[in-house]
Amino acid sequence: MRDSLATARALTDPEPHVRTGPLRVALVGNPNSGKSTLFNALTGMRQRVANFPGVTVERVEGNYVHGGSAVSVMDLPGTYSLSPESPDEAIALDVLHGRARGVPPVDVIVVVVDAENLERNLYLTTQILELGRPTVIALNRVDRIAAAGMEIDVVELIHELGAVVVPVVATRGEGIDRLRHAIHCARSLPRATLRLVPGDLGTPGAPPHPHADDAKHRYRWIGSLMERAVTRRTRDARTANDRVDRVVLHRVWGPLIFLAVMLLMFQAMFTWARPLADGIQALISFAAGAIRTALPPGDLRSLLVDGALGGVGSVLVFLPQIAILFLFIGILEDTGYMARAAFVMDRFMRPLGLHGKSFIPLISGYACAVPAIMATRTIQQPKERLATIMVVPLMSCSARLPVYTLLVGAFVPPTLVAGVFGLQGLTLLAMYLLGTAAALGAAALFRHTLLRSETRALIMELPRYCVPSARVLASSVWQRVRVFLRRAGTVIFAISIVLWALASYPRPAVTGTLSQEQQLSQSALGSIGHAIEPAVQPLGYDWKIGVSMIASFAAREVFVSTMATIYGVDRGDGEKPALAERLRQERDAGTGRHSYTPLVALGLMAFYVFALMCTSTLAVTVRETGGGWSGARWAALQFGYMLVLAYGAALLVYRGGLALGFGGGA
Amino acid sequence: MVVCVSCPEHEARRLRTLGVFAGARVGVVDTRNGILLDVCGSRLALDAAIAMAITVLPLA
Repeated sequence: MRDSLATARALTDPEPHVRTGPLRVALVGNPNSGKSTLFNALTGMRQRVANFPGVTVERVEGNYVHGGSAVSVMDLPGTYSLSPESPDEAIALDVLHGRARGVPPVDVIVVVVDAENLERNLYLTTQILELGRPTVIALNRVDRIAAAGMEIDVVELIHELGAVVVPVVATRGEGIDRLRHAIHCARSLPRATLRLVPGDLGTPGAPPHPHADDAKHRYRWIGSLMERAVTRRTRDARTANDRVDRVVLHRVWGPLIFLAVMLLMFQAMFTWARPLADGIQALISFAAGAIRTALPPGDLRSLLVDGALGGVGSVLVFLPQIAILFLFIGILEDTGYMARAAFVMDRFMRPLGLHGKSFIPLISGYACAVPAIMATRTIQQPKERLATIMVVPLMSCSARLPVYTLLVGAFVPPTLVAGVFGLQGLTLLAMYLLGTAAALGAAALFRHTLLRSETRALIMELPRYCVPSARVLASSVWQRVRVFLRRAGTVIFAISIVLWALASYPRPAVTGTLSQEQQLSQSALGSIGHAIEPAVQPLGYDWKIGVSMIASFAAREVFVSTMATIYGVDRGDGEKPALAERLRQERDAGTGRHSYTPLVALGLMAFYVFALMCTSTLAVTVRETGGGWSGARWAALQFGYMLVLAYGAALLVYRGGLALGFGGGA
Repeated sequence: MVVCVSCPEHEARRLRTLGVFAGARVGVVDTRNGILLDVCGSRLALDAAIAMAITVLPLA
């Protein structure tokens, strides 16, 4: 039993001057202890995100240099104890033991302890100290304990725990240099000899779950340590927090407040983003104008202006909205409201066979399904987790936003409803609600058919409310925006170029005599469009929408760039109106009626609400549902049911609307 | 003070880790909607069903 521990020590304990490669440090700690912030402070945000081999648990690594030697830091998933309850906790344990495949053994363990929650955090700390590995304790958020009327005797902690304790404030970068120094020296210090409970915890061969008395034992010891090391000047520092919670967690007010927060978010996405989006649009037009004056008319100019700028630019315009969405989600997470929302919504989720914890991935799904699917790892019950994964892509993600915005902007008048809410914002909200309702309905269906099991109890820590740090928020928004920009620069750029080529060639023999419409219709893109027209005709779409839909199976926002490319391909030199304006004016060549009516737009939006058009989501579903064939089957089911739903919804909206006499088109 | 926790072992184990076990001192903050406990200074939210499984005895 102790052999593996001895080997691990031997492996990680070569003479400092003999060893090669960086010093390997792992950060562990409770969820919400500020681990990731500390990680960013240590490494200066030079991070690399990868997955642990074999499992899709995110592995964040970064580097820094201290005293001339390189240090590699790994941020492990948050865990409450060393007895694993969920896949990511198991990973953390494996890494600490040097048992994780493909991950080199760890030299120094840094336990991140939230000073405000010292007692509970010490539970994991004592377990880790018992591993007998070089360990440094980072006592985070020490700035707040003074405010909370507490005082922590760090010397007493060091004395009792037998390990170095470094007070830090990760959000402000205080104490980071001392922490780096402590990490540097950790291996040359005597090992912690703490042993509260007999037996090796979590080593191979030991019972996977400690005896019931273990927890009692540990907490009793921690309780006595707390009495010696912590002085409380005021009795309860959380009264203000609790007063807020009395309202936020109220049976009636709680859900209403949540709805209001969501409404504010969607309203903001539409109104605040407008000036910024207009600015970006102006920049793109300026760039297009500059290229037009610099280059003579011809293929190269058309490629640059219509293909590249038109395609990528049409998606870039949505950057402000996406940034605002991520900003809101970041604020909700960082203030501690997200956990409350999960608790409040638990009541409504339970009849559907899900519990409140499934709610957080669903909300993250508004931003992007990929991290949302990864966030389901905190759900312990496998079938509950699978059901959540299956429905997460129904939540309208940021990639759908460009599609919604284009269509709403073009076809929904900006009138006010009840004098306050814009009709455009409300339509957008309706799309999000439709997706959310579908996700919940589908979850209930899955949980009562394919994935039946009992729902696990909700046991969740509610973190203290806090004002989010602007720096942390800005960096998280920037990181997510960067991913979006990278997509715009690679996938969308490439597809735009290909589509431009398909729309421009083959050239008709005589140019000039054909209208733009006819020319486009004869191109390769036109041929593809006409081939799939029968499939989309029942929905009221022409071949141009058909082509855009096909192209957007790779990524939804490509729909907008494809439309922009299709409508951008004209040989005239005149200034082109904005895409939304073009769509409104577009008339069918044969009948002379408007091609796109509000009804068509509504049906199209319904299609995009339901359809799973995102290769990244499918890839992550395959991996998260077990990989290989079994994962592929789940992903295929996910794709299939959503496509059926999408087609059905679009058909229902269009045909139903026609039957009711709406929008025949003028 | 918690008198007893009578729920399935896997739930009980999670509760123990977080500091809820027979003999532990907890504060009851809110019981209107599920239950909100004060355990070692942190707030722990439990849904109504699991809250029913925990028996507490007022100390003062």
